[in-house]
Amino acid sequence: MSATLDISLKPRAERRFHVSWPVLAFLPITLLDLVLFTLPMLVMGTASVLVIREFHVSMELTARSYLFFLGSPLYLTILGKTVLLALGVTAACLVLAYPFAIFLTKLPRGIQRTMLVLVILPFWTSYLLRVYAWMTLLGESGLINRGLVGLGLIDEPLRFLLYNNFSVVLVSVYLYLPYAALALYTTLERLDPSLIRAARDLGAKPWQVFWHVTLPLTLPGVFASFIFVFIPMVGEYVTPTLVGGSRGLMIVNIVVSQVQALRFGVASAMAFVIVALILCLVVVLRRAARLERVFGV
Amino acid sequence: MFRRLGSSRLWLPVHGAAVYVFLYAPIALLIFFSFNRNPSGTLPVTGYTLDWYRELGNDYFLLSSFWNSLYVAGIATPIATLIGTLCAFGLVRTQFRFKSLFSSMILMPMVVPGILLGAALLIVLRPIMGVPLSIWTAALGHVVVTTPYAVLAVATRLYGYDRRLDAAAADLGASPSRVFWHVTLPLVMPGIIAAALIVFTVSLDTFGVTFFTIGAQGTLPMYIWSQVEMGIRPTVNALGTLFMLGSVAILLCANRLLRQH
Repeated sequence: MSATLDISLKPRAERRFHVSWPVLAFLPITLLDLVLFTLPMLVMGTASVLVIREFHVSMELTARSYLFFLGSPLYLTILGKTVLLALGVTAACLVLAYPFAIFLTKLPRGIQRTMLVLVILPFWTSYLLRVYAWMTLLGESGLINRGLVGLGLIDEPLRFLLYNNFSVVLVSVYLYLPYAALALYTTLERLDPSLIRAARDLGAKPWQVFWHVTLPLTLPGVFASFIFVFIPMVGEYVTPTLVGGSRGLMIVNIVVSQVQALRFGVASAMAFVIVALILCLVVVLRRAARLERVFGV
Repeated sequence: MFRRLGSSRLWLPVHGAAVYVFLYAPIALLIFFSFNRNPSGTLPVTGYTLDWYRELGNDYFLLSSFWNSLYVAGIATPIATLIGTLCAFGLVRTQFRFKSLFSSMILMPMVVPGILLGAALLIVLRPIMGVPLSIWTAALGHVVVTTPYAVLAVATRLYGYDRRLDAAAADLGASPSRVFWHVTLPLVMPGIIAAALIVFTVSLDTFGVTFFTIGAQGTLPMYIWSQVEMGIRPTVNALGTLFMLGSVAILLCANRLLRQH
């Protein structure tokens, strides 16, 4: 109240200062993102329609890179499989994280903070090493196989544990579960408990309360999990490489192999398709996920 | 209905505990195996040793990639923290049209796969601009990827800031710049330091964007990558233990700074 009054009483010169400081605050990040994020993405989009031979770019327009990508049944299959795997991982994370988030909100206030930090901690520790840790668990000479052989339960190591789609899904769920749990926890915590009590008092069964009250009100958390699980999952490279093997390849593995073969045109076309897909998802889900709430504003 | 409630009361904590076991078991086993004498790095346990830790100190490539990582994080941290702090002030203290669109665009480098951003930067740097890859090009990538983390950390702190303190200082005759330097900034400082710590740890761990933007000198994640591609190694278990303990220590400090009042 007093603050608004304050501003209106200020002389003209000072009022201009109040208008210009946000511009100064946003200028560095805008420049940074334009030059080192937006521009490279646009250049990549342009490169995907130009003829590039190794390090030489010629200004001829061509759709060859896209035709190569879209005309290859193998690449299209891998793209489709990537999307399916990402959907599966997102669904599994939501199913596991939802009851877990409810569990967190029901903890006593004092313990809740500590338990939340415990959820966040593993996802701050090295991402690469957490994938590696699963190699030591699932591999042919890993803990599970050595343990089972040692106990005399199996003679030959189980090979289905590693280097397939199953291991990619398992490890990815492990990697992204904290994101989903946090996103759901944030919306569940804001949920007014009196709404649930009201529904109960009016005779709703627990599943009806969940389906008609809790779930619709926590949908922003579900959409936010979608952004923080599905999107990075589409671009996952480390997990399919380390625990997926040749049968667990995902689309970014193909992009990387194209870049390493210096086929920048084809790599750009593929990467551009993925980034465009991601951008569309963010723009569509942004409102539903209340993304701006991440900043607390 | 009451029985259902009773069963869910039991079911939720059991599921909760299982999730914690799922999250921590792989890490705990990694730490456990780092002390195992068995050179295969897994079962059976053949005795306890600190040899794998000693071996780390003799690995020239490991040490140089560790210094490279510190170098990259040392360049990226002040830049990302400064840019992120400015942006957080803008986001928390102003209202404008398209603010929610703007803030989700700022988050984009966090969600777009780092390796694709790295590939895009590589295309700009190599075939188009002809810049050789180095620690500096990797640091540029790190600044882009880590700045959103700095924005989030400082915004968290700023959001809980009582603006009546600024008003009080102004009422007592302080000029806007004096209010900022003597009241606002000292109070927000823990958030800025926390942001720097978070940016530093994220930078140390960044794999995706580094992959295509660093030249011959690798960072720590590049070294770990070269090792784990060959399979399970006891020295990686030891290195992983040290790396995780280090980042957890830094981040617990950051967490404390964000919470204290």
